[in-house]
Amino acid sequence: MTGITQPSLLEIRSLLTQMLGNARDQVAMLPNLSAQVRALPPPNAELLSSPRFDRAALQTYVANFFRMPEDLEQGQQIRISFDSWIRGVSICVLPALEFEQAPDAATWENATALRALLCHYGTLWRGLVDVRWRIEDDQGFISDGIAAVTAPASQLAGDGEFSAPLDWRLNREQQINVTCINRLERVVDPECPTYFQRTLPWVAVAFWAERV
Amino acid sequence: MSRAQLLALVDQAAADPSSARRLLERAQFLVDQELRTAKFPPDGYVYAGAHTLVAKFDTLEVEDLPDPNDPRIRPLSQTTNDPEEIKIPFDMLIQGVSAWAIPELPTSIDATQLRGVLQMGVAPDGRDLFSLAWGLDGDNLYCTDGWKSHLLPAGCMVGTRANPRPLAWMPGRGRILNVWARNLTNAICPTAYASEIDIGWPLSVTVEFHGVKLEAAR
Repeated sequence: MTGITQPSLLEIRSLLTQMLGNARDQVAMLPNLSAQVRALPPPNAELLSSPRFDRAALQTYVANFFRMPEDLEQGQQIRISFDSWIRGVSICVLPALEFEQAPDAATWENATALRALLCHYGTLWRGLVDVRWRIEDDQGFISDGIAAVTAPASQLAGDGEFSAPLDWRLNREQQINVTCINRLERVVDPECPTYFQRTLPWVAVAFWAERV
Repeated sequence: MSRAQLLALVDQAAADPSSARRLLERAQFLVDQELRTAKFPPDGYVYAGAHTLVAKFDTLEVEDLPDPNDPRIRPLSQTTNDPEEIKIPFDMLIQGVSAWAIPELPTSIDATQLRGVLQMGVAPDGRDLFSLAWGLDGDNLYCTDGWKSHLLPAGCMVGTRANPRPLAWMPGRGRILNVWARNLTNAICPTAYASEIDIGWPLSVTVEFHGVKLEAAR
């Protein structure tokens, strides 16, 4: 029941309690109850009366991978600066173009169109990398049940418009270890003349957190 | 649950008094559930009006790309740009953030270059063309790896106007919200050939924080 302010809801609650306590009131007070429910704010008041989070989703912990070569596992550590509640994770990959000579119109067209098409495997090119993470030595957050595995970032993380939910309470000085692999060759054959840089300039892994 | 559901239960009870008790118990259950889970204004406040705080970077120029042989050049997640400042005009609950970028192109650019440049921004609102970070009162440690602050690609830092990145953040009146931005166009389209076109291009970037004013409850 979004968009309902607390005082009105409390009044309705109080009226319901009174009605349920007295069989005669259950019918006699129905018009009054109906009027009160009709007077509640309409659903479109949601923005003004119901924030989507009740705490600050402000702190962001990031692991940056720069100039990632193909098929080579790299790791980064994030140190938790404050007691934090990790709420979600987003990933952005930035693939770059590369031209050996000034591109003509057709080359531009092909290169940019192919680059855009790679977003079909996950917005913000998340399908181009595999990731996994662990908290200090605690493995198993992404596993096959026996050992840790890497999985496509498009399946594990969100982007700026949504984040994949997580729920970790971490203490200050704990560490998150993030491992990332460039999987560009999974969708683009190295022999294919696509004008892509095989090295990814930047992969950013962002954990959204609240300070506890 | 919606107001319509509650109203339906009340109307059913009026139409069928013999089942009024059962329906009212159901209504009470739904109201109790809502009271437990609804997000109400902080104690002592009511919500009063939606506002948007805007940081504008009119001409965000490209910066030098990092060079492994020159540690003086900052990595892509750092910037030499000064932050834009927003002064929080009143107690607010900031509920979301979105951003938008558009290329600022020179008039001499030809149609081929123009087409290529315009097609480079794939994420909605051009959010893959720049990076962002923010902080309060000069402290930008809200976006960090635990050791130092970083900017992040705007694509994963903010949403679009239609779907802003949710925040729930209550900066007090008079505090300064700093926003840092960096142009990434030269990082995603570096040109190894003799530079017949400029490497990267300037952007006009706007970052909007959407929130509601908080007023003291009477």
